[in-house]
Amino acid sequence: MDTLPHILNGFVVAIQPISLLYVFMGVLMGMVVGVLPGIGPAAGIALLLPVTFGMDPMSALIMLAGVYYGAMYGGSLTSILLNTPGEASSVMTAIDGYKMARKGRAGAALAVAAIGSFIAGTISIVLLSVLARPLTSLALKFGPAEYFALMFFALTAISALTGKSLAKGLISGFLGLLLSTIGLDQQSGVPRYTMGITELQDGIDFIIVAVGVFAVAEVFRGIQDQHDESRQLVRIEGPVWLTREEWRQASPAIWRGSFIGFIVGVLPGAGATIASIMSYVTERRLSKHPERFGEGAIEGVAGPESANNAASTGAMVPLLTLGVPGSGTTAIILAAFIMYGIQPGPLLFQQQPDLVWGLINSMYVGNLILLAFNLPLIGLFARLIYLPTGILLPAILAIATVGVYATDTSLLSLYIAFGFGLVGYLFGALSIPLAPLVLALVLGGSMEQSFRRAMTISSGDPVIFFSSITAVVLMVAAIASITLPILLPRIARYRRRVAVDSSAL
Amino acid sequence: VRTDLVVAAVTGALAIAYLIGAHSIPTLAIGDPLGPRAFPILIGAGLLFSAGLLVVETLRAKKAGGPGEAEASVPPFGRNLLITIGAIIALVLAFEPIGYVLSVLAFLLFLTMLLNRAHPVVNVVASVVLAFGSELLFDSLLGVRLPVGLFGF
Repeated sequence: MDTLPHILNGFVVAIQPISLLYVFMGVLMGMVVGVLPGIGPAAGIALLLPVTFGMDPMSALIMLAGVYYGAMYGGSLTSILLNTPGEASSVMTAIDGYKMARKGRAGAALAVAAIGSFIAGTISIVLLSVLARPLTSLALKFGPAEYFALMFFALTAISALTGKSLAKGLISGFLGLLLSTIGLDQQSGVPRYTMGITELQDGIDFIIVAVGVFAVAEVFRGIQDQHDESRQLVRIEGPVWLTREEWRQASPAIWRGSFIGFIVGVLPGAGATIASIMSYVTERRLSKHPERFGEGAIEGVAGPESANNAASTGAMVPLLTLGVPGSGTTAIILAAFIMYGIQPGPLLFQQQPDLVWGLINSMYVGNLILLAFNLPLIGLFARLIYLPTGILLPAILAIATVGVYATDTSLLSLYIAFGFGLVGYLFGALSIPLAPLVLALVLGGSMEQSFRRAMTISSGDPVIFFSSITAVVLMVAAIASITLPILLPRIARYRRRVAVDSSAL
Repeated sequence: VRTDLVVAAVTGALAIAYLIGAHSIPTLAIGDPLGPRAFPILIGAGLLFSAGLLVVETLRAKKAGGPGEAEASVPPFGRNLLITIGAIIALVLAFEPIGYVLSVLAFLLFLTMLLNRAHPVVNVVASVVLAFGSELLFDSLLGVRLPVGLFGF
């Protein structure tokens, strides 16, 4: 299996007019999703899924991926001009970005965010392509025990890393697993927890839950917190570009942010928000003048914006090569794959190289489009902020309604979606993270199957989960990610402090 | 602190109910050694463990004290949120009897007037465009069968 011809062929797929059209639509919608407060990439993709149901899988996946990384570009805009991050991953950008804007350097802040995102995005796609071959050949040797260990690690990592409390992360993760057991058992066909409702035999549709906990819950939060403050954008003065001095300061931060972001993105659990925080902290620590941070340091924009973009591409690595997502948003992209009957993972690279490499290489094109359109159109995107939330929020509810109903034309699905909207709202208020629940729900079925298959192979001996080096490494990492925070309360205190720091900003 | 203990109690109760439910899953004595009950039992146990862990965490944090320990609490639902939830229930109930376009149009008009009081004309235009536009997109272009209701649209 030689990868290079496949990669080149992927370019042929990616630059076909139809692919270009969907990349363009995807990244454009991603920008919008990124700019609009109250609707993040996860909610945006979940709301779009029903619309893409009848589309060609390739085009749909290219578009949905575009929404995902396009949102990272859009998120910076409101952080810089309004001091209100559109996404959690742009929170760090607001600190110095808004200060820069107030000092008349809004153009430079926006430009460095876009250029940094572009460089980081491109570097991470190259790294993704390089890692694809070794990771897929490793994954081809995986048996059910290794797959179980991998998914177990992804879940424990996300439960341990999101939010302030390990217990709450675990509660969220186990609740997701619990939901995944509703329906007919895949092996024996017996109904479990269906409470006699026939429609529940197929299980709870992941997409419906995702629309509920991400989109609907976010609308509830918006309505609860709505106040009629007039939003005043900082005017963009001068050219949207950098001075030579600013470029000199920003470029090392872009490089470091790209690599930090990519690594954090590949590892399960952490994701774009943590990547941007780590990049900011690193830049402040390395700077000769740390006092500039918080006063409009351009590195404080360049680093985190590069990092969150690199992380979003990095998060595609485990999803595409291993078939196991490590975050809430990539879990939704996995659901999209499954909706089209495609299982991402090592076999997909062998069986449908055109699709995988077409998708990967379309991301180069998407980043290029984002760079080319972002800067000239920034004034236009900024106007989206004036969209009244009093119209936006009901509109999202209406779109959620039609989208959910479209998945299986059932009223029960609507009740489930809005019910989970309430659950998501309460989780937010109680600071219980949602990502573990979503990831567990999407992985639960395969986790149980690989668990039972492994136990069948070993005739019921759990030692099989420690029978290969890969499995041992993954199981130890999983167990460590849960037990270390309990055994070492210092970590827990540190995490609370970091979480408080970043939520106070 | 109290809120987190309530969360732990609710989670614990749910875990126990789930574990009890696991015992009513019918098992067949063929195939894999574990059967359909084993995984739910593991999940239930894990959920119970997490609830216990939350109690420990909460008590530890209480002992450590400190002013920085802002505790999570659910603020009472605001008037608009309650009205929105009511409107959603009405929408779902009306969805099939009176059809997609009319129910969604009424829903949008009502909520935009509630949440965006100052601009009634914009609200009407946006609601009409959205209701008919989404009908057109889903029904005509995407081939999704939306409820037609009383008036044939």
